[in-house]
Amino acid sequence: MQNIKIKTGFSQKENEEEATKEVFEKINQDNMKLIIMFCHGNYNQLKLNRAWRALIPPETAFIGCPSLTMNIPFFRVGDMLTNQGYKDCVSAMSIASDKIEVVVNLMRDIKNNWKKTSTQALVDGAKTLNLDLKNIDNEKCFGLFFCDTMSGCEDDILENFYASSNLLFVGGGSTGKMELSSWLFKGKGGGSGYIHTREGAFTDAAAIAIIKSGIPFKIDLITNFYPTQHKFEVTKVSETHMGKMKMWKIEELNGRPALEEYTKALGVSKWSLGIEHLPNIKYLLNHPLGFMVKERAYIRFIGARKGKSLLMPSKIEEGKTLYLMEKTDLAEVIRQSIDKLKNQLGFVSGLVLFQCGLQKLDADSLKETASLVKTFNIAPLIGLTTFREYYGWLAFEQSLVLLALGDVAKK
Amino acid sequence: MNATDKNLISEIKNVLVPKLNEFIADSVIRVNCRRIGVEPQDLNMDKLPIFLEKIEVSLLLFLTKEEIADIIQKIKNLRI
Repeated sequence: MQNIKIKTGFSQKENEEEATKEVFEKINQDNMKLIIMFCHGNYNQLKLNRAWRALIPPETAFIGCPSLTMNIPFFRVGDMLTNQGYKDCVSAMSIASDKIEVVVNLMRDIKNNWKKTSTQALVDGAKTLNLDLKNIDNEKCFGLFFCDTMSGCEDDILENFYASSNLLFVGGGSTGKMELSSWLFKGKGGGSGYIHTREGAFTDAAAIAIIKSGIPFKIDLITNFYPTQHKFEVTKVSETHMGKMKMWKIEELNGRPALEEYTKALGVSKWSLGIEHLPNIKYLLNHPLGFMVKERAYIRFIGARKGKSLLMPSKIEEGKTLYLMEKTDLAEVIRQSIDKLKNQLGFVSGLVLFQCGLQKLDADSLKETASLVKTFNIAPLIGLTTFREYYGWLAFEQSLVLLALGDVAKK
Repeated sequence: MNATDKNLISEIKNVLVPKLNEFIADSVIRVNCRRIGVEPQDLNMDKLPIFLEKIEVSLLLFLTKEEIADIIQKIKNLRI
């Protein structure tokens, strides 16, 4: 007997209500504890949210967000990962099980109030599920976390969650649609990172789903990089903005202007990196900074250059050492990780994937997306194209973070 | 190895960094000190057992149970 039933579906209809209706018909089942919804950033998020709220049963928790959606020269991302490939769509997963309890809590005004609202969301969630925050069993409880990346405070929120509990999260940044014209000509680029819950769809917001699970699960982070011999100590950092997005401006590496030090290691001129408002993303994604823990790389992406500095979307502190990284075979790394996961769980009943838009773009250019879809296709799945991936209490880039659900009856 | 309260945090860091890189090691120390309500520089021998209990879960994201047991033992040995 199955202890968990997972259904997924997607729709490519352009009308928000029609698309929602089509997806809901595919995923609707008895005893739905949670619906996770991902969508292309081109949809009207408020209309889409209204359509979902009209259909979801009152006892079902609901959480979702749009993908990173960009269509600028050399950089087109935004598709959702489905069992039938990457699609420009609305997609959703329903999870039905007597062995799962879920609560979703929304956080608003996070730019100004992240500490208060995130602590409150966590405390309220634990109270609803009757959990002792300090003594949560990590084999029976986990969290999903979605955050408007324009807020620039997801690192702080994630660390606050973990400092206040021992709950580990997986999730991704909601970035939504980023307009080329405002980015390039007005320098005001930035997305609309809506967060969807039953309360509505909001920017400057985040949401958590706390899941108490009698079903086995695994979380994982997958990257495809290794370090070169070029090592940098971050010696001067300040905070800045690139359009609406908060960034960390690395002014110096190894005590020298960061741009000079980075381009010298690569043996290229600064023009290879593009210009401030039109960075050469395809070049930069091949040469991020990062470090290794055992055989796995953790990545800090260089988003652009600005003057003699480099802009980084992730929080970085002075004194930290990072390496210039080089790519390995993405499809092979993912295949090995998914095989390992299958062995650990025995049976995979569902997969929720948060894949960095940069990783997806790289897979596109290497014509590896079909191979990736085949590898992922071991269970009903949904995947979001993200900008920043959350793992435990940390946020990274150019990663694939995933949640795999098993089934006690089929192990 | 001898560790006093004064240099405890740097001794712990010396054990963690080779396994985790400085970035993750610092984060593990910072967040777990927050969890037990102390600043990293104020971590002392009295608080060490509860600190070790807390870091075990954090380390599972990065290391195997065997590697974690080895790290915990090395930190415990700092008390000798």
